[in-house]
Amino acid sequence: MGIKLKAVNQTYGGLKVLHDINLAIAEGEMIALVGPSGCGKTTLLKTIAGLLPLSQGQIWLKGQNISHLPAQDRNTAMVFQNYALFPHMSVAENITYGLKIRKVDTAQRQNRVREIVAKTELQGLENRKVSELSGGQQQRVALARALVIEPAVLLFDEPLSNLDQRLRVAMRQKIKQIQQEYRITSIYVTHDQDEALSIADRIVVLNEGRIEQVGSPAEIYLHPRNRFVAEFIAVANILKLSDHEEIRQHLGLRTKSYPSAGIAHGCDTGKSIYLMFRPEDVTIDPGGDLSGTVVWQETLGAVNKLTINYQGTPIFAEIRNYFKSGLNIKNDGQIKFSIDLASAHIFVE
Amino acid sequence: MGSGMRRYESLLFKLFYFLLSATILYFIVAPVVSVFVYGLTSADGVGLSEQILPRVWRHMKNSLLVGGTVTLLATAFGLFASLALWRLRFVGRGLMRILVLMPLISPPFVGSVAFIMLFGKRGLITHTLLGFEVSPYGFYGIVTMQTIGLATLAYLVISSAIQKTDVTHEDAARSLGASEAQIFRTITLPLMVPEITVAAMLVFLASLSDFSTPIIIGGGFQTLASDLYIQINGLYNMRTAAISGMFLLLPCAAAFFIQRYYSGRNPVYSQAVSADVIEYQRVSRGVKTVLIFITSLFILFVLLQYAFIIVGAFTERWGYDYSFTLRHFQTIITKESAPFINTVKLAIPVGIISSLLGVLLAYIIKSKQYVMSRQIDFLATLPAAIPGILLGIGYLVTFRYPLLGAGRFYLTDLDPIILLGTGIIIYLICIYRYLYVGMKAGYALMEHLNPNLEIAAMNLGAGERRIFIDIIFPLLKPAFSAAFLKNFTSSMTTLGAIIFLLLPKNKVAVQQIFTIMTSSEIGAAAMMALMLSLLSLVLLALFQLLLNFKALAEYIQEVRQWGSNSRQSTKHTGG
Repeated sequence: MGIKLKAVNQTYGGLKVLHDINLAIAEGEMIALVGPSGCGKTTLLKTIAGLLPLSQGQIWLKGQNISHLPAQDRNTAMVFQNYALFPHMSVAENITYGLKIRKVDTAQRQNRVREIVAKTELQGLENRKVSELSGGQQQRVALARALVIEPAVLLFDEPLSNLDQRLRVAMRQKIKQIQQEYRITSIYVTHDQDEALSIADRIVVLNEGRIEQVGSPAEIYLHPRNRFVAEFIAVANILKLSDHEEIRQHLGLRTKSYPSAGIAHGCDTGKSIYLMFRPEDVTIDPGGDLSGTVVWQETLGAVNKLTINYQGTPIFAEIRNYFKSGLNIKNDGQIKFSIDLASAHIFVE
Repeated sequence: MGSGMRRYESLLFKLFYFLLSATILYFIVAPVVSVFVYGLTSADGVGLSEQILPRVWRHMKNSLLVGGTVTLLATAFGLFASLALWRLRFVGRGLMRILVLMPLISPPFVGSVAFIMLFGKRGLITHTLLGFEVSPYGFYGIVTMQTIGLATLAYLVISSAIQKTDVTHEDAARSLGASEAQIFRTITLPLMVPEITVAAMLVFLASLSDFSTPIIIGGGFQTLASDLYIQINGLYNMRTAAISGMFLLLPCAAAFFIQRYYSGRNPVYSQAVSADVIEYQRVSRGVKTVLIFITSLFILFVLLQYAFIIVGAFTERWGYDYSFTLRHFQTIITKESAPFINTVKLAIPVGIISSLLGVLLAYIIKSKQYVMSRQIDFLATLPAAIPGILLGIGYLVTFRYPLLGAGRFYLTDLDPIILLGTGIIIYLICIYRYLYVGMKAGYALMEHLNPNLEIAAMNLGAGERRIFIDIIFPLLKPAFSAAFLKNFTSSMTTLGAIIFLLLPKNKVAVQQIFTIMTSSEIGAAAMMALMLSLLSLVLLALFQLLLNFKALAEYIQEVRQWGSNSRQSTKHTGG
């Protein structure tokens, strides 16, 4: 067993920032914690690291209750958002720090550092001052410093948010590769949905201190439990079914009950039923059976993004290979389209 | 293109810059050079090596011994107090943060007055309680008093750095398994080395420059600075004084350059001002107790000083007759009020002019590419390294002669007194001595200003002068206010620089206290010290109020609202 969080609650200056967090993380698993800023994801991470005292609940690591252990004794290692490299030490000294603290003997220390330096591609930079490194290099030193002590769990606190887009993509691949190679249990906090989707085995979506949903990237993306998760993880089209008779017919649903959608309850409790589909599920098709007005369109090279006003509800759509498609879409023009209902998802709220 | 650009330039700035630069040469550089010229060329026949050097060497050793000890103790205290008051959480912390700063407003030798009251010939402890006739004057007395006086300075520097601690470094070490003690030793302390060094060097400089403590409680143990005073005031030996001054300048200059080097490279703290909580989450009880104990002990000392000053001010004759009296108060109000008026008359104009000139000069040096600006910056900052008493001697030997002192050689027939003996010279020495404070405040502020501001304004068609009046000046106001408060307080309590230049008619309060004390009229000295401290406090509060009037109005409004709210809520719960 990797990590187990049991009813973790966190109060911070009289304010409750985490509510009843229950989560089990398998050995070697990479979990992404996502959510808007202020949702409590960094607080949860620091609580696991022991950098914030736990208010209520339990944290178990490898079968040991670590809830009230000081940070020093938890065998977790954290990669900080601003890297927190020790500015008065060289690259090598930074990486060796944890091993020196653990009194690892010199020969073994050197071997371990050499291996990690190679793994994180820092060869030749060992004697540099950290202030002389680029952002990406500093990031790798932070990773190496955490990895070298072979922690039971690696904690990433938005480690790539200070890098530019291109470097971010390269670094997240690197992190994923290393994580898989060492099979090290990891928790990765990010506010970048793409990063979460690409890097994680499972994603935990947090909102206002509560877990909204836990699932694989596919589950979260295709079957979000509610509107918040649907919209947070990627652009989503959400239609209230009671407002759209045409869509209901399209779906083959009758007005009052929706047995074919597999929803047996919820309809009579005053809740509404929503249809959710992603922009790529919309096909622009002259023979399509739905129509709307183009409100806005922009061309981004590979994809053309459209916003269609469909009976007062905006629908976001994407066209691949627009330049080659021969289509000519203009603002305010009428457009015909269809929705791939096999990929659509229904939730009650 | 060229003429188009020139339209936006203002001659005023250039004129101001060159005039101020010229006067900096005249009022800062020339006096220091004069000390050397005077010390090395004077022809009164005394052999340098036989008589002067051994004396200077003996005092130099004393100075370094005192300076080194005080630096160690005061800096250690500054560090402990900073840790206790900013990185621990305990009841009474807010009050202690204020109390610890109290020595800043009192004249430098308030401590010495209290020391004499306790340990003097008729001291409360030595005489009344223990019945000793001897007193612990000398090395230990000086070290004790200077440590108490200068610890606040060290605290000020170190605590302002500690407030900007980036705790993620410590968290990183924590998550890598380092114990709290290891973190302090390997991360926290090494990262504070620049600030600690700066604090130590400032304390060292101040200790070397302090002549009043050794004079009052040094007894037979005198330092370079105090001997310099004795040379001039007692022995009228200007040449020995000048030579002592030269030697005094050496360690001071060294300390100054070390300090400048370290405050220049400050890689850690100034970068990220984190809003994080910097208090330690887990501190052992023992460490916490020790830190708070040391800090409390210091504050107790400070409070005791004031308590004794108050008691001394209102008792008949210290050591002989402890009955209550208003005699000292009456004497000062009726006979000795002139020095107080002179002090205020000196401190306010000096505060305003030096701050204004300093901030302006900083702005010009930073934003205009005029010639020699780096050199001018250096020269204007020089007084930070020069003990006041040394600059005072410089003025004394320079301005006795007309024409930059050069008149000593060429215009021997002219009436020799040009500036010396006029009240103006005291203003001048204070203004030029404190110029660097305004400059430092100006630089610090400008670092936070967007460099594109001026370009943006220029882009909108504003000329150099308009940019300054509309954009820069309003933004620089906080620097001016900060420098003013500092310079005002310094001028209220300064003595070293002006003691040789004052005439009976423009005597200031500090000098009066000093004179009274050396003639051991303790009661009157205590009363004057008390009144001077109170006067500084009241005026400071007043200026604080004037400078932050808007903020204060808002604050009062808030308090009122809060008061009425709480009253309402008590009504609710009560009803």
